[in-house]
Amino acid sequence: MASSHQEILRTELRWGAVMGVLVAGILGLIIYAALALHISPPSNVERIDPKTLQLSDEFTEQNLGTQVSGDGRVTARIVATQYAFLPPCVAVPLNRPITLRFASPDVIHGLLIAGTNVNTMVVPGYVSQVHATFTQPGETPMPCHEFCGLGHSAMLGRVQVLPADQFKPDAQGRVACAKH
Amino acid sequence: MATEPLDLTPEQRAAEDRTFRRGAALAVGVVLVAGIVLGFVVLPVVQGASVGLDAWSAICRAIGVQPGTPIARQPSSEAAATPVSQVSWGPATLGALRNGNVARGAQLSRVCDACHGAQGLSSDPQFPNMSGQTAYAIYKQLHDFRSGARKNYLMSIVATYRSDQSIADLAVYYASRQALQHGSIEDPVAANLAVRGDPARSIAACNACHLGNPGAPVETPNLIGQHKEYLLNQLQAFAHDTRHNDVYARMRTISTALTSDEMERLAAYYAATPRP
Repeated sequence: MASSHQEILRTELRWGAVMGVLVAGILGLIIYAALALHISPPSNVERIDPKTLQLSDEFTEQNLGTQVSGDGRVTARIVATQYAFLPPCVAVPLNRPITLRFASPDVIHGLLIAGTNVNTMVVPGYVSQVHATFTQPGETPMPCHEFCGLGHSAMLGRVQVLPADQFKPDAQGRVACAKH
Repeated sequence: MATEPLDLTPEQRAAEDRTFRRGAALAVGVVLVAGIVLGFVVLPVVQGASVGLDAWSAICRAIGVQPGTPIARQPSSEAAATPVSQVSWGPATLGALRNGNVARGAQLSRVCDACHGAQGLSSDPQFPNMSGQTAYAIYKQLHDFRSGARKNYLMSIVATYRSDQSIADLAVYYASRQALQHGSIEDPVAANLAVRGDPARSIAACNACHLGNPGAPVETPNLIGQHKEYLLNQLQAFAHDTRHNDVYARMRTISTALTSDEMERLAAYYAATPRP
């Protein structure tokens, strides 16, 4: 166990380098996710009063769901509440950029759509906004991933990704999920 | 075992400390510069570009010298509010309930006795028991009858012209009264839905909200000891959308997922469940 001063220093530097590589690797992954996959915390700060959310213009019950505006932009407005999403099923177009806007009238919820960059908390008092493009057709679950109370485990929404020929807005530009 | 001496001369130690200081300073400097470049330049520019923000304003906003969120103003929704209930649980409502006058509520409740019973316990199972219900639930329903959010041939008339304070007084009066004690029934199907729900069908456990749990929506009524007929009527009304004053369709969503057999069982289960 001959440990010269030099050897000790070398060992320390080697381990230091290993830790450095680990930290750099993890940071690299985060940066890659942020730049290439657009996965990052929402940078958008927009406040909304949770006490009067259902009395508000935008998040009133009838305005929820997916809507195509006159200029062709697609916006889905979804309320996360104890213990369901409204609408329970969100229709979105395939391969077309859309904006998802979430709000909560009660407690902190969260949601995640697997295989996409949609992963956000829904904090009462704020609008959570996510830009996304869905590239896989079909139906995906959208579970609440932030413990929101005793019914949390049943809080499961759905997302239907519809190809262009099935994504048909009605006269008001609204699109609903296809019935099974 | 031959060991080299670990202690160095003061000169050697000073030289080594210098090298280490330089190395550490360099490492910290590199991390700092990389952090600044990434956080204030690379990330804002790349992510800003995806929402149509030019590089310079993206950098300014990241540093904080230029205000501006949301990044992309949404097409402001043209929709006008069409709330399913006018009640909001702000300080005004909660204050009215906190200052509710039980004695005045008792006086006002004489009008209700004919249907809801002198003790707040009705003999006709169409009409709900009121005693032991939460003040929030009663306030919300009376308010909804008054605003037209919920409709009933009798209640819509009775609730008209009642002030917010009268509604609050009635609510606290009934909430202060004792509920009826009931027996209990064994029904594994209903018990399972009540206690566990059915996550596969997005049905949350009824008890998650309806057992007076703090943390659930405040207006959720107690179901225990309520009449079976009344409960079943309400479940069916929600399922057929003839009653729709549940904020954000909480009950409409769940009741459409329930089968009529399950509704029947749940109504019987809650009617017979004793209070904890």
